Parts: sequence; C-alpha cells; structure tokens
Amino acid sequence: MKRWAVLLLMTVAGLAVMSLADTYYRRGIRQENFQALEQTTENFKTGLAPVIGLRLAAVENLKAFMLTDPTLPDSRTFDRFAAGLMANYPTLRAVEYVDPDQIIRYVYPLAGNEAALNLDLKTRPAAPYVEKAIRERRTTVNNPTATVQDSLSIVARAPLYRAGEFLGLVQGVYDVEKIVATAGAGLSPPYKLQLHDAAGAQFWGPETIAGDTRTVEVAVGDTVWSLTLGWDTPPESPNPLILLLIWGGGGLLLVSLLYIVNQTWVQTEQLNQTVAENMAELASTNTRLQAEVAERRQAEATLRESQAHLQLAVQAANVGLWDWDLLTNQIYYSPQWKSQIGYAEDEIPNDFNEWQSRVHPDDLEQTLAIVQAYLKKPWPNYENEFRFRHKDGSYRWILAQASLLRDDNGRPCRMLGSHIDLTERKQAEEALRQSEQKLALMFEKAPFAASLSSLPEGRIEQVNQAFEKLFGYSRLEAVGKTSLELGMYPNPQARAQSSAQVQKQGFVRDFELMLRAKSGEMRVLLVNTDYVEIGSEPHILTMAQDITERKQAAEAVRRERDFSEAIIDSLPGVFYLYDEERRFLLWNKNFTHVTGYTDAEMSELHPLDLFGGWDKQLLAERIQDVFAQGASSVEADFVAKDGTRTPYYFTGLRVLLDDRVCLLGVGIDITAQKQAEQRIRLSEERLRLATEMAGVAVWEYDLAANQMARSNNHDQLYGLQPQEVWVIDTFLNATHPDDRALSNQIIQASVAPGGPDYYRFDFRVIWPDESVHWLAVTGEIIERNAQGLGLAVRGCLIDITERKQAEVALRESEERFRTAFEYSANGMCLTGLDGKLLKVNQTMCHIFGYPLAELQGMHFNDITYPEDFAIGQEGARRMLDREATNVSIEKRYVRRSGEVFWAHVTSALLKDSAGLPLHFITQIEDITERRRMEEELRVSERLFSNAFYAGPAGMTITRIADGKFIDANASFCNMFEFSHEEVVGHTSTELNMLTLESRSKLIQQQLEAGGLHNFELVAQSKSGKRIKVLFSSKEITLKGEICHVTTMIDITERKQAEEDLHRLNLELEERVARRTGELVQAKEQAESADRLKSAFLATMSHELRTPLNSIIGFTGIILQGLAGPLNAEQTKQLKMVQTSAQHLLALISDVLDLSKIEAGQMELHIEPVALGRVITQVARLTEPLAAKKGLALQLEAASDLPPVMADRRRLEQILINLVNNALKFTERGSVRVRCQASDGRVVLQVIDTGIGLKPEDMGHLFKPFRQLETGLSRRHEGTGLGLSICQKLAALMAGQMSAASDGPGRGSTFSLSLPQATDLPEPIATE
Amino acid sequence: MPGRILVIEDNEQNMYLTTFILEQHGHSVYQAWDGHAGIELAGQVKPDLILLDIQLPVMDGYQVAQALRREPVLVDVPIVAVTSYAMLGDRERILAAGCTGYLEKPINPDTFITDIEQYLPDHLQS
Repeated sequence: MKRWAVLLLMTVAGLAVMSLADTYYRRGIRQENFQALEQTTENFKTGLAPVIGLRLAAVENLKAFMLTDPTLPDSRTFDRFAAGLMANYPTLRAVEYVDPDQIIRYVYPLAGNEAALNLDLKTRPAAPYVEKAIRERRTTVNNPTATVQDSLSIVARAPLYRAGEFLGLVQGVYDVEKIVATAGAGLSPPYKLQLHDAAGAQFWGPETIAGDTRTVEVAVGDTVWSLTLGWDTPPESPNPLILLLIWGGGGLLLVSLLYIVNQTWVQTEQLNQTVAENMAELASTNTRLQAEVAERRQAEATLRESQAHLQLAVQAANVGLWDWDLLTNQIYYSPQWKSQIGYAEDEIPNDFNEWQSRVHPDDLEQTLAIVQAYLKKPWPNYENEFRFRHKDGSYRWILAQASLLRDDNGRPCRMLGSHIDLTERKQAEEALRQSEQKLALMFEKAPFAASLSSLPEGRIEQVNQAFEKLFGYSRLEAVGKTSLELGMYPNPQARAQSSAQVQKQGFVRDFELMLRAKSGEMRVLLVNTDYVEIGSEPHILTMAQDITERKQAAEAVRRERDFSEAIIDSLPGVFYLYDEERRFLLWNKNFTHVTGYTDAEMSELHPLDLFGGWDKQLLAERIQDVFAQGASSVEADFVAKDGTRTPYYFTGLRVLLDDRVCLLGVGIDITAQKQAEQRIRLSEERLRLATEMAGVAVWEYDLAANQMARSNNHDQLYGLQPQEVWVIDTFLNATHPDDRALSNQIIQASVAPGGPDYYRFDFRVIWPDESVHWLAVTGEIIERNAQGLGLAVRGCLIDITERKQAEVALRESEERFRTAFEYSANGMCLTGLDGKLLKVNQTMCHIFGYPLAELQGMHFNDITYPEDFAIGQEGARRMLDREATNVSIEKRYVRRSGEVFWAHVTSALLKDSAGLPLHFITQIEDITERRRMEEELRVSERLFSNAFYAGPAGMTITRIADGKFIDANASFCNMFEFSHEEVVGHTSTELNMLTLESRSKLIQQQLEAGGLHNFELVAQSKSGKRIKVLFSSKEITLKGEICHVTTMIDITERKQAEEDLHRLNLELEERVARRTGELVQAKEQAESADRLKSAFLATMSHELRTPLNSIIGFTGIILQGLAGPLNAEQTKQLKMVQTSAQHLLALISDVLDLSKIEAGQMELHIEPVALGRVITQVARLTEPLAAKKGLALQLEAASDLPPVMADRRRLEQILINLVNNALKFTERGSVRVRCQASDGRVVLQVIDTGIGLKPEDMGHLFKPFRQLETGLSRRHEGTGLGLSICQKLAALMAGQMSAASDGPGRGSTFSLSLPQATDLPEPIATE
Repeated sequence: MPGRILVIEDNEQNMYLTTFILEQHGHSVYQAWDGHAGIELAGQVKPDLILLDIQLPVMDGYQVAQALRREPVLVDVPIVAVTSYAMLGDRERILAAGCTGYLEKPINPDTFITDIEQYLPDHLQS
C-alpha cells in the first residue's frame, strides 16, 4: 500500500517537474524574442527620425532657393535646383511649387507626377494642411495620404513669404515606402511594421499583428507618428529537440526511477528481513569477540609488561643478546650488545664477521676453538670469555653464554646467547692478581724463609727462595710434604709444641727452633708462625730467620770458655786469677780441691792466706814482681785449708783482663813432676787437636827470630798449604791489601813499647784462589825486653767469613731499607699505634713543611685535615682488626702553612716478632697537583664540553685518519638536520654534506694550513638544503688520534641577506629605471590627460554655449519684437530670462577661464602693451553702466606712461572686471582709474567711493566664489569668480593684485602692478 | 541688399535661430545639416556668405572650410565660423582653415546681424 502511494506521488512530482521545465523553457524563448523586438523597434525609430527630419530640410532649402530670386525662379531654374536636391534626398518623390492660389505650378520631376501639375490644392484633402502652413507661416507636414500620384506619401510644405508678401509654397512629396525602407534597412524580414499618424489612423503595414508588438512615437516634422513593430510568428520558437528532451528524457528518467525505487523497495524489505535475522547472531558474536579482545588485550598488556621488565632487566644487567642462525650464518645483535661496545644500533651490521673481527687477536683462536667445539659437541653451559674491541679501541672482557637450539631433525640450527661485560670484574681480578703477585713477590723475595702449610697435617704448600736457600730443599721437594716428612725436625716435640701454641693463640712469636737442612746441617731459627685462613682453609704461615750464625758465635764463645775452663780444670795444678787488690777473680776446681776451700770461701781469701811460714814473704815479693814486671815464678808450699802442705811451683803472669791488671797464676804440684809433665804433654796434644777441630789456629811468634810456631791448621786458614816458614811478610802478603796497613799498625802498636799486650782485629785474607775470607786474630805479647819492646807474641786465628758475610748482608739490607725510606719520592713515616710520628723521611718533611725534628713527635691528627680524621682512623682500625694488611686511601692533610692538600696514602701495619702490632708504616703521596690538574682538566673539559655542546656555532670533531665525525654538537645537528647518532661515525660525504671533490679539496687546504679560518663553504643538509657556512678548523690530538675540531657558522642568511641586498640594489636600480619609465609614461599620460582635459573643456564650452545660444538668441529676437509685439509683462519676464542667461554665460566663461588657468592651459600672448588704448577701450565698455548709475568714471593716466608687458585682452579683462566691480558696489561718488609708473613697474588702480571692505574680508577677496555680502541681497550680480580670475591672470603676467580699504562705507582701491616693457610696442595693424 | 547666405549647422534650434534672424533681415538662407550637404549646396547656389558651425558630425568645420576653399568657384566666398569653441588657439585654427571671420556662440541677437553683414561683399553692404 505504502509503496504504491510513493510511486504515485513520484509520478505526479515527475510530471510537474517536466511541465515546469517546459514552461520555463518557453518563457525564456519569449523573453528573448521580446527583448529582440524592443531592440529592433528602438533601432528602427532611431533610423527613422533622421530620415524623416533631415529630409524635410530639402523643403527648407527649396524655400531658400525660391526666395533668393527676387522674382521667383522660372520653371527651368526650379527644375535644375530640384534635380540637385532630389539627388541628395532619395526619399523625395517630387518637389513642387504651389502658387499663391494654391495651384501646383512646378513639378519636378514631371514624369510620373503629371497628375499633380496644375492641381488645385484647395480641392484636395491636403487643403487644411496648406491653409495651416500659410497661416502659421511655417513648414508643415501632413499625415500620410494617398496623393494624386497614387502613392502613399507625406508632403512637407513651406510657405514663401518675402517682406510679408505671400509668394506661394514649395512642397516636397516623400514616398512613405521609401522612408520606411531606408529607415528599416537591415531589419530582419519576420518583423511587421505598422505606422499611425498623429490622429491615430494607420497608414502603413498590416491591420493586425498576431504576436507581441512594441509601439513608440516618432517626431516627424511638426507632427508625431506612432510606430508599431511586431511579428506573426516569433523569430525564435521552442526547439522541438529540447522539448523532446524535456518530456521524452524526463519520462524515461521517471519510469526508470519508478522501476528502481520499486525494485529497491522490494529488495530492501527482503534485506531487512535478513538483516534482522543476522543482527541477533551478530550481537552475540560481537559480545564474544569483545570478551576475547578484552582478554587478549589483557594478555598482551601482561606480555608487554613482562617484556618491558625483561628488557629493563636485560638493560640493567647490561646483557647484550645475540642470535646466530647457524644455517644462514645470519646473526642478530641486540642494541644492548652493540651499546656494550659503544655503538649505536645502526652502526654495526648484523654479521658474524663483525663479532669475529672484534675478538682480541690473542683470544681469537681459543675463542673460535671453543665455539667450534661447542657446535660439534655441545655441553650444557657454554661459556666463552674473550676480549672484545670497543668502539673507542679499547678491549672489553666479554663473557659469552649461549645455548644451542636444534631443528626437528636434531641438528643445531641456532645459537642464542648473551654477552656480559666482564671488564670491570676482570679488571678487579687483574688488580687482585697484581696485588697477589706483589704479595707473592714479597713472599718470594723476603729475606727470611717463609712457608705456608695447610692444616691440620701441616703440608707445605708454598715456600720462598730464602726457604730454599736456607734449608736446601727445592720448592718441588718441599711442597706437598710436611716438615716432619722432610726430616727437618730433629726434635719433633718442638714442632708439636709450636703448633699447639699456634692453634691455641693463633701465632707464635720468636720461637727459637733448630731445624735440619737437607744437607743435614742444623739451623737455628727464630720462628714466627701465624694462623691464617686462605680461602677459609686453615693454614700456617711460618717465617723463620736464620740465627744459626749468631747462635754459633755465641756457642763458640761458650765453647771456648768451656774449653778454656776445661783446660784449666784439667790442668794438674792450680789455676787462678786475682787482681791487684789480691782478690781472687777466677780459680779452677783443682784449686778448691787442693786447698779445700769452697768457691764461696775463695772470694774472701787472700792469696797469701794459702801460704805459710817463709813462703808468705817470698810470695809477696814474687807477686809484687809479677805486677811490676809481668811474670815471675816461685816454688812454695801450698797450704790447704786443712793445713796440708804440698810443694808447688807457681808461675805468675801479669795479664790485662777487662782493663784490669791481674795476676794469672798457675801452680804445679811438683811432687809428681814427671807425671805431671807427661800429662801436660798429653793435654797440649789434646788442646792442639781441639783447637784444630774448632777451626781455631794458635800460633806463637818470636819477633827476634822472625819465626812463628803455629798449629797445623793455621796455614789452612790462609788457604795455604802448610808452609815451611811463616814470617811477618807471609802474613802481610796474604792479607787483603786494604787491611794490611791497619793490621800491621795494630800489631806494631802492640809490640811497641808501652803498647797493649793484647790485640784483636778482623782482617781479610786473599786465598790463592782469590776468594776473600775474613779472619779474626787475637794476639798477646808474651815477652818484652827491657825497653818494653815485644819479643814474642802468641795468639789464635779464626775464620769469621760467614759471620762477616751475614753482617754485611744485614748491613746492606738495612742500608737499602734506610735509603729507600730516606730518599723515597713519597713521604714516608713510621707511626706508633697511638698515632705519633716516630720517624719521617725528608720528603715527608718537604710535603708538610716541617723540619724533621719537629715533625717527628707530632701526632698524625696534627697534620690531617679534621674532616678526614675518620677516614684515616678507619684505615688504621681495619688493619688492626686484621681486615686488611694494608690500606690505600685518598684523604686531605694540612701543611704547616695551613694549606690543605690531597694525598694518596698507603699504610701497612708492622708487627713485632710476636705478631703484635708495632707500627704503621705509611707512604704519603701529594696528589694536590694531580688533583688540581684533574680538576683543571675537568673544568677545561667541562668548559670545552659546554662550549662544544652548547655553542651556537655548529661544531664537530673529525678523525683525520678516516674522516669520520667523532662528535658533533646540537647546533651542527640542527644546522644540517641530522640527529647526533646519524652524524657520529660517518664522514661528511657519507652524509652527502659535501661532495667528495669539495671535501678532498677542503681537507687538502686544511692539511696545508694546519687548519682553516673562516673559509666559506657550501654544504648540503639532510633535506638537501644548501647551507653556506663559514668553516674554521683546528688540529688537535684526542686520545692519541689526530683530529680536527671544526666550527661552522651558518651564513646562508647573511649571504642571503648580502645577496638580497645586492638584488635589492639591482631591483632598486631597475625600479628607478622602471619608475623613470613610469614617470615618463605618467608624464605622457598626464599630458594626454591634459589633452583630454582640453578636449573636455572645449566640449564643455561648446555644449554649454550651444543651448545658451538659442536662449539668448531667441530672447533677444523676441525682445526686439522680431517675432511679434510683446506686452509689458512679457517684456519684463523675458528680460529676466535674458539676464539669467547672460549670467549663466558669464559663469560658464569664468569657470572655463579658471579651469584653464588652473590646468595651466591659459596661454597668454605677453607683449609690450600701450596702456592708453587699453584704458580707452575699458572706458568705452564700462561707460554705459557708469552712465546708467549716474557715476563719474574718471581716467587718470600720464601721457608718457611706459608700455607694460601683458596680454592685451587679458589686461582689458582684468581692468573691465575691476571697473565693473567698482561701479557695481558704488552707489554715489565716482570710480577712478589711475595709472602710475614706478621702479620699473606700472601700477593701475581702480579707486571707488563704494561700500568699502571689512578688514576680515580682505583675506577672502581673491578666493573663487567669494562674493562679499553673500546672503544679504542679490543686488550685485556677478559670478564671484571675477577677482579670483583677475588675480590669477595678473600672476600669469607677472603682475600683482592687491586691495585696500579704509573700512566699510569708505570706498576701496584695487591695484594691479605690472612689469614695465623695455621696448615700445609695435603698432598692431589688425586692430 | 539682401544676400544669399548658406548656413551649415547641425543643431536644429540654432539653425532656426540663425535662419530666423537672417530672414528677418531679408537674407535668403540655404540650410545644410552637415558638411557634405553644405559643400554640395554651396557649389550649387554659390552663396554670398557661408556661416559655418565648427562642431559638425562626420566632417568638422575645419575640414569643411578647407574643402570649400578648394572649390575654385567658392574661393572668394567669405566664410564666417560661428562656434562655441572659445579655447585659445581656436581663432587661429579657424582662420588658418580658410575662414574669413569668426563669431562666438552664443550669438548676441542685438549685434549678430551687424556682425554678419560686415562680411557680405561690398555690393551687398547697406
């Protein structure tokens, strides 16, 4: 139902639209037709009017011709004139002369017009027109009528009057058909024309016109015709094709539309059905999808987040990832991988070779081997450590870890891995290793034997060189064994004891121990043992100092003493020693045995107490002798405590013992002398053997005989075979040359009288094998002559080479240490645990500025910067707490001058032999300068960095070697539109900034000059923009590479500006030229405008004057009565018209004059003008007005007045104007014209006695349209332009005008001054 | 003596005015509405005086004056230009074109006839 309604509605609407289109189309056509008609009508009218109007003039001419002849021309003359006339006026059918009786007398041409001849017009329908013409004495035109010639004609009749006498008429017969044809020439044929006369009667054209018509009126002579134009069938009719298009096409469109709408409707209904069914399904699907999407988004978000976390983790851990496709050999490196070695993402290609080329050459082989091995037979944790080249050329330690992926066939296909930068760890390891190495070296080179053994077995893990040397075990022999196993302990208990102590208290200090060397030699050692943990394993660190020599020396002394004691004890006699006070100092056991006194009693005993009777005296003498003479002997009975007497032979010897003079006495029981002698011999033999065994040689030298008795081993000590004789020279020869003099001196001094009986010295001997040996000798003068000169000496000799060598070594070591300490370039000090400076070196004093004596004894805090106390104390604490064996810190100190400085401090704790903290040894390095330089460097770097990065000029650093940009600042990047990453690592040619050619040219110039300064250069930006830069460069060395620092200032704009300026100049010049041209053109235009203006003024003048000509002319004629008599009122009114017309004419003339003057078109003929004639002329023209107003016009001009330079006409115009003005404004009195010559000028004055001038009006006088008294009355006619024109004309003639007045009512004076002419004017013939 | 005067004038009112005044003073007036007609008529009637408007359609007064002067029969006929051209130099141009005299429009009805008659040949002067 609804569908059908819609279709119906559409049909109706469609038909309506078609009908409307049809209507509009037809209306348009009609409109067009009508406009054409209107236009045609107008054209026709325009054509018709002159045709009729002008042709009527023929009659006027005829009339003039007729009247010219006083007797009227005869027929032949008429015909001749008429023939000429008709040739001019083709529409003229005939011209005729009608006599006063209204009979047509002449007809031209007669042919065809015969009927007209002698026709009496009074009988014709034209009679009223003829009457009218005669009556009104003017040319009339009758309505078209059928003439006797039987054609439709109009007739124009002109009456002929001469001096009031009617002489007949002339008439022209015009063929209407011809008129219409002439006027309508060119009109399209379909137009129909109707003509009606003034009475409305139609005289031309069809009676009716079917179509649209247009009617206009046309003036024909003294009558009016009405002209109607139209057509039966319009020239433009509707195009049937368009109508077919409207109706046929429209219909077709409508039907199609209806069909489509119908089909669509049906389909839409079906679709709606389907859509409804699908919608439900769609809705549920949509819901499901939305849920899925939400879920997936959630999952994606989670994934992204975890990826981000992973990414962050990877970044944070600085792990570079790689993925190597083994099948394609393609490899992916993660950005982190690249950044690890200093590269941006795009700087390194994903290429296996890239990796390979970066591995340190020393590591490459091994690294590749690992990779290949892994690929051949993978193991769970692939790890590969190698050095990897960083962008800056340094090598980074990389730990590569990887795992292998296999394809479906189980073949390795990918290797995924990571790079971890181990450099820092490696460096730390390296530092540790070095420190370890140092320690190891210290351990190794320590002057004392050191060993490290693991617990609990005490297996030796390490020994040092001193150990090897001391014990004779090589490292290989020692390591892995215990000291027990090596058999070093002769007494295993000692070891047990020491290790027990170590385990108990952690250390053992200065434990004396005897150990057996490999050679079996026993060594006495001072051992310090510490319990240490190495890698949490318990160890024992043992340091042993060989004190064998010391011990041996001590032992030797002891043994000697023991030996001596043994000798003494073993002597059969008694042996004793007492001093001068006779106090017993020493005695042998036998003494107590023999005497029966105890040792205690002996110290209280006097030597004489042991004798009795006679002997006491004797002994006292002999004792006295001994002390006085050195030796004595006596036989006496030795009285024991129990009183037992035993005969003894005593020998006393004065000896010097500890600077005391003593008596050494020996007593021999002579009771058993023989046995005793025997025993002595035996004893001597034993002594010899003993001394020889102990390496001690004994000798006795007889100076007088120069013979020396000596033990068998004596000569060996000199490295000599046993000698036949031994003289002093033998000794001296063997002695080291350096020691000879001294040795001899000591001996001689001793031998000399008064010299000491004992001497001892060490000296060197040179063995025949040239080895040097130290010997120690003791000597005793055993016999002197009376003068005290030594006669015999005896003594012992012992080889002390080893001891000496040890001593020397010790001294040298000490010396070395002392030197190192003293002359160290660093400050060194030994500090007590309390922080007191115990010993400082010179450098330290120098650093701190204190004298040595002052600095030693100061507290560490005295020289430490207070804020850094804690740092130092913390270091000390750590060492004391065994957290560190040494510390290395940087802290500040204060010099004596108060200056604070930075120092690098290394401290170590020294311990005593018991391992207790003893001192700190500290090394102080003044790093102020270093710090300052660092700081300066930092500041300069920062400055440079700021200048570089933040500078307004574009700056780069380019490596000369490969031309690549190492760095570039923001300005540079901005200038060339690159990012920093894009620039760095590339050359300017790679970036297309410079052509290869211009770049190499630039480089060459730079190299030649070592840099460039303000070199102009054109470079190209990323987008291709050409930038003109001022380029400067300087060579620098950066990290050992020669680079260029370049500065670029963008002068494109400056250049542009310069070029703009240049262009502007050119443009200006061009513009000036153009402007000049324009001016010329403008001038021409102005000139042409001037010409135009002239033409305009001329036209204006003509057009305005032409109608005025009629007005003034006819008014004048009528007023003259030429047109008939007038009554008074008519005369008065006509005079008003006349006055107005004349005023208007004056106005027009004045305006034209003014216009001409202002347009500069007023051209004057300036010539010498004689004033007399001018004034006369002026007077003549103004006299009538003066006379009329009853005013006297007086002329005052000197007869000898010189001529003036002026345009005569204009001068007259000015004067007339002035005089007329004066007359106008003066009611009583006079108007005088006065002329005077003065100073080369002539002044003409017009003086009146009129209304005068108000002072305030003086300024307006010469302005255009300023008539004084305006608004008061129109008493004074005038255009208001007169004075203005006068002034301007005067100015054109180099004249001046002025006005003066004594005030209102007192008259005024107008003056014109003109330049005097030098020459007399030539007589003007034409005037 | 009345003369035969040719008036060449395209303005109807002025033609009428001139004709009226001249006829009132007994002169015969031949009218020509344009230059061509004027030249032709002048050839036919050989007028005693030609009054010539300068501002004419198609052919202006200067051209007409020059053309008239070229006709041998018209060489002596006085031509008086009657024009509203009042610009400087007009007078000279008019005389140069062959005109005998010059009258400014608008005409002064009081003096017009005397001004005109002075140009008539002596035998016609009253």
